[in-house]
Amino acid sequence: MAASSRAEVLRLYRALLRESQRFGGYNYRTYAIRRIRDAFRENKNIKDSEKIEELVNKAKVNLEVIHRQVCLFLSFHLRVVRSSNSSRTTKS
Amino acid sequence: KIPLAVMWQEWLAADSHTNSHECPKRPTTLHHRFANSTHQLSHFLGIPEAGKRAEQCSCCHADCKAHHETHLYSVKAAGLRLPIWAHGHRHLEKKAQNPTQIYCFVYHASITKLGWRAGPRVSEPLVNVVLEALQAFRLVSFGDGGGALRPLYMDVQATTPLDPRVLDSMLPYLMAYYGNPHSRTHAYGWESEAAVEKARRQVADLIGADSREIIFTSGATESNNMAIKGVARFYKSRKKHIITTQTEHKCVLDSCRSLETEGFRVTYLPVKKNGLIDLKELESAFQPDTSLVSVMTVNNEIGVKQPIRDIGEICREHKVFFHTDAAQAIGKIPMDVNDMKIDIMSISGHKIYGPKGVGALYVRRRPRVRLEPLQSGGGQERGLRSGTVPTPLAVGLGAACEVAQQEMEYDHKRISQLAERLVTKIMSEVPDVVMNGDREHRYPGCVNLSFAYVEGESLLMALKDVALSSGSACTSASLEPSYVLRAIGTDEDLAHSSIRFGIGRFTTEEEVDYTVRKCVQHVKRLREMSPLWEMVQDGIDLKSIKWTQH
Repeated sequence: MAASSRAEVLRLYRALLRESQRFGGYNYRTYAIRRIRDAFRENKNIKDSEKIEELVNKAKVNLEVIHRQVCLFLSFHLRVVRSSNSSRTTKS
Repeated sequence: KIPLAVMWQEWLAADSHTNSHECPKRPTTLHHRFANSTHQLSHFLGIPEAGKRAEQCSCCHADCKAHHETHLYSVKAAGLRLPIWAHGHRHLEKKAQNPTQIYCFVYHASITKLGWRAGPRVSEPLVNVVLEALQAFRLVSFGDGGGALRPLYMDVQATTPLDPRVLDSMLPYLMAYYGNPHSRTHAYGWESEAAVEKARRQVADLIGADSREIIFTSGATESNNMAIKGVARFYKSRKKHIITTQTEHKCVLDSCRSLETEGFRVTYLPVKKNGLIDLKELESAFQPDTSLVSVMTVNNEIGVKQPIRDIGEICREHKVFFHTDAAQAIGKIPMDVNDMKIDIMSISGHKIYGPKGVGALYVRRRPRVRLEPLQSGGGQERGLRSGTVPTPLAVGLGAACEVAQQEMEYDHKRISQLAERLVTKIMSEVPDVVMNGDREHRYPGCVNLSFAYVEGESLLMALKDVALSSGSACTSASLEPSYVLRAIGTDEDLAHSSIRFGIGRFTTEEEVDYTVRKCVQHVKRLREMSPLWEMVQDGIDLKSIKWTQH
């Protein structure tokens, strides 16, 4: 049980990160990636299986939310450009 | 004119993960595909050879020049070893008249259709040199071809972007569940009502209230009006005095002014130099017929946090209602209406990453606060605010409050770090910068800095690729310096040169660094041009100068 949970959690983590990278808006993308990373890092030592289950469900819900929002952005051709010299920029 | 270098670096680092290929490297390395909407751009590149060809291209189709430029982009991209999407050129095939066109077509086609990476191998430093040169010669004018660059957003006190989670919760109610929440006879009404009640509970949980004490309004301005005018008018037979501060939001001050015309007396408490009110002055301002005290929790211009708990205590002792405009504070610092003894509180949706056009008013039930309703109608919202509750907006506000409650600690820590970084960097690189407002009792995400010997408007215009403001959005159209800064006693010249930096949930470290860099650069540049700065450098005390009268 613990082993499959670990694989599941890792799978979710990668899926979340991959989905967030598709975000069209610079701010949303960077926030999503940062938040996901920090949230998983924060909770990595939790042993209580109920809590883990709850967090995994929350992650699944958030994955769907991100997916929908990413698709919305794409379907409206919204890509937010930042006129900064920094390398992380996208186009609107 | 936005520098070409910027534009090119856009392209060099265009993030194309929209094509969803898995990338082990960072998204900004130079190996990504360009999306097809290169064609949207219509910028004319002043590169001599390109110009020639573009002109020679007789317009065989609309936007020939533009079309050609996009080819050039593709070429450049190819030169940098970037694969390019093929895009349809069949129309050119038929219409190509002169050899140049065919050349363009062939060149381009060879790159795109055959996937062949042609063109000279241009190294990135060389490209940068070319770009810098172009920038120096100002060969680029940036037309808005629908692909205009947008500035960094550093004005979160004016409004905030919608959190994607909030938008996600709102959409079903905008698309499918469109019923009126006050319709009692069918499922559309019931489901909408359920959603509104759930939102009400979410808002109440954030502030430690009961859901029956929340009333949805159209925003914090309406909530403030309802609170002040409503309470004052209800108790006007016996109580005719209101206390507020000089640094309140315009809607509060304006409501008080309109009440003055109705015969009420209003005391506008002054604030100390650090923006906080003096509690002793507040105590002495109480009169036997005071009905309401209104003090905002976090100021939207200078970010100071008033001692709400202490003010609440004082008001309880004197049995006076305490209203606070918590629009900027909600969801960012922990607020509890029972702990802080708040009787009425205004909440704004679009300051906490929720939708615009919705807000809430918390009205305490025990002990009951009575309001005279501003808006008459069908008696919705406990009779205090008639009118259909906008279900999607209310749901958005509820979701925003819930998200804010979960993210409050994380956001606060991050925003404090970023604000610290911003202030320390600016203050270490540029002298004579004053932070308006108290250093400790503040919300860190609102930083108001005054740059001496620099005109605020010119600095704002110079920082055109960062969205900033000086003063609040509602007073940004007027030329006067902000009344808040005047109330805290800043000199006229410092008040004119103040800029408000807003850091929010979605602000990144890179944005902060870029803002700092640009700000420092422009402040230095503007100071170089300023005769006052020269005089100061020479050691002349500006206050001692007698300016001649003409």
